Amino acid sequence: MTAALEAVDLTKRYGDFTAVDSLNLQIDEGEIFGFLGPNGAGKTTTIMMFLGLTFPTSGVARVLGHDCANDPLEVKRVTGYLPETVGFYGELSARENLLYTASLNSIGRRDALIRLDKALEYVGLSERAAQPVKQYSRGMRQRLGIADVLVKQPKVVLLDEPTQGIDSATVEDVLNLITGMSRDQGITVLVSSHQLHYIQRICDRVGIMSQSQMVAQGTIGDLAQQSRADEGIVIEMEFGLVSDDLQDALKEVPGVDSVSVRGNLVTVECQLEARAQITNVAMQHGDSLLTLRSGDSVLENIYLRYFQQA
Amino acid sequence: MSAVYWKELADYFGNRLFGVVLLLIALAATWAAYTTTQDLREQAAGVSSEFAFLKLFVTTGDTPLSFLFFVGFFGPLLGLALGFDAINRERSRGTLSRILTQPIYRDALINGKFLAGATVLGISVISMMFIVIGIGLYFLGIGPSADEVVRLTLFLAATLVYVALWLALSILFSLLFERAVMSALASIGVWLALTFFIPFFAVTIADQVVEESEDVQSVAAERAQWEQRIQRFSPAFLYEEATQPLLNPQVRTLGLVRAEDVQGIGPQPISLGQSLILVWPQLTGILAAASLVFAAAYLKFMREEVRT
Repeated sequence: MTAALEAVDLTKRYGDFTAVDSLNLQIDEGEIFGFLGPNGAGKTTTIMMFLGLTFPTSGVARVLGHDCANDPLEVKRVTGYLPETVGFYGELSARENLLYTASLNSIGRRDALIRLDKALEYVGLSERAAQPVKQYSRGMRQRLGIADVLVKQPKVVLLDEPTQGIDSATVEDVLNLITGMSRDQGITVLVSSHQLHYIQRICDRVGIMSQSQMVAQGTIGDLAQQSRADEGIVIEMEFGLVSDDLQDALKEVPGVDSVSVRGNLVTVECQLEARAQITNVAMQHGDSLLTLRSGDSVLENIYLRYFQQA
Repeated sequence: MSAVYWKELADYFGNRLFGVVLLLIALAATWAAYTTTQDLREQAAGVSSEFAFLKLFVTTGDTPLSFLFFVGFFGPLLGLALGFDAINRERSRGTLSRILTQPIYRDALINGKFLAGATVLGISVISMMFIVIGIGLYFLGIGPSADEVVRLTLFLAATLVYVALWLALSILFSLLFERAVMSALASIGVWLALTFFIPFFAVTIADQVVEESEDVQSVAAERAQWEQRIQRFSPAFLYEEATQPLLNPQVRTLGLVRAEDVQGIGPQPISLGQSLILVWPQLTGILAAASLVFAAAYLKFMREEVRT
C-alpha cells in the first residue's frame, strides 16, 4: 500500500536559510495527522511542497505515489487545500464560487450542482448559499472553505491553521467537520496548527516541527510516554484532608523526587515507574482521595518540552 | 484555461470602473464622429472627395478631437483599467493560492486573464468603430469603399495590439506591486510619461545631442530627427505614426519633410501598399513591445513563489 502522504529527506532552502530540513514523514490513508510547531517552523513551506506550489531543494514529496514536483497536476486533482485565511470572490455568491472551483476541476455543470449542494449542506451553509461571500463571517468562510475542498472529492486534504482566528463555537464545528470527512469519506487529513488542544482532540498521530526540523513524531500517547520516560512526571492529588503521615509515606516511595502540599492539594514529582506505588500509598494513607491526575499527559507540556530542548 | 477565461470575462463586464471608462470613451467618440460629419457636410467637397469616409476617423475639422485621438488616448486607459489589479487582487483576497491548488496549469490563470481582457478590449473598440460607421452612413449617406474597409481593418488590428500592450503592462505591474493602488498609479505614471512627457524629453535630449552651429537649417533638421528617434521608444508615438498613414492616404512620409522633397508632388493619395510599407516598422514595433511585456509578465508569474 502506498502512503497517502510521504516525504523523503524533503529539504527547502532559501539562500542561507533552511526552511525545511530533511523531513521524513509517512501518513497512511484515512489517517488524521497533526502537524505542530510555532510560526515559522516550516509547516506552511512543507504543505506548499506537497501541493507542488513550492519546489523542494532536495528530497521528494509524494501524494498517493505522485511526485509533487514533477506531477503537480495529478496531485492537485486528488488533493484539497484550505489555507489559513481562505479567500473567495466577495461579490460572487457561495454557490458561484464553488461552481468556479468545480469548473477549474473540469467537473460538468450538472454533476457540479449536485456535488456543491451536498458540500454546502454538509457544512451547514445551504440556506445562505445564494448570498455574496463578502457578507460572510470569518467562521462561515472557513466552513465554505471546507465545502470548497469537498466539491472536488479529494482523497487527501491539507489544512493550514484551520482554527486560526475563529471563535470557539465555530472551531468546534470546524473540528467536527474535519473528523467527519475523514471518517465518512476516508479522506486522509494533514492539519497544521499551533493550537495544541484542538489537535490533541482530533489527530491519530502528530509530528512536531521546530526550527525547520521534525523533532518528534507518533501518537500523543507515545510522545507523552517518551517525554515522561526522559524527565519524569507530575501527579496531582486532592484529598479531603492531608495528614503529615501521608506526606512522609509519599516521600518514602522509591522514585519520588519531591512532594509539595498546598491546602488539600498534593503535587508529586516522580519517575514514571513510581506511579503504581504512589496511588497505593495515597489510598492507604490519605483521607478520602477526591481527584487524581497526571499533570503531564497534556500535549502542551510535551510540546513545550520539545521547544525547550530545541 | 477556458474556465478562467469565462469567469474573467463575466467579471469584466460586471466591473463598474470598466463600465464608466468605456461609457466615457464611447460618448466622446460618438461626439467626435458626429461633429466631423457636420463639418464634412458643410464643405460639400469633403463628402465627394476620395476617402471621405476615412475622414470620419481622423479629420479634426473645427473640433481638434477626432475618433483616432480618443481611441489612441483613452484606449490605453481602458487596457490599464482592466489589468492593474489582475494578480495582486487575487493575492490580497487570498484566492490565488486556492485557484492554483486546483488542477490547472499555472499559466492558465494569467493566459485566461489576458485573453479575457483582450476580448473585452476588442469588443469595446469594434463596437465603437461600428457606432462611428453608423453615424457616418446616416449623416453622410455614403459607405466605405473596399480600400477604406481594408484600411479600417488594419487600423483596428493596430489599435487592438496597442491597447493589448497596455493591458499586458498593467498585468505586469499587478505582479510587481502588491497593492492595487500602487500598480494603478505606476501604470498611469508610465502612460503619462510615454504619452505626454516624451516629446519634452525628446526636445531636451535632441538639443543636448546636436550642438548649435551656423547652419541653422541643418541643426533644426538634425534635431528633429533625434526627437523622432527618441520618441519612437514610446508605443504611443509609434501608434500615432502607424495609424496616421493608414487612415489618411495623403500622408506619404513620417517625420520632418523638407521643402525640396515634396517639390512637384501634389496632395494626391498614395496606394494602400505604399501606406503599409510606410507603417510596417511601426506596426511590428508595437506588436513586439506587446509580446515582450506579456512575456515578462508571464515569466514573472511562473517563477513567483505562491504563499498563502
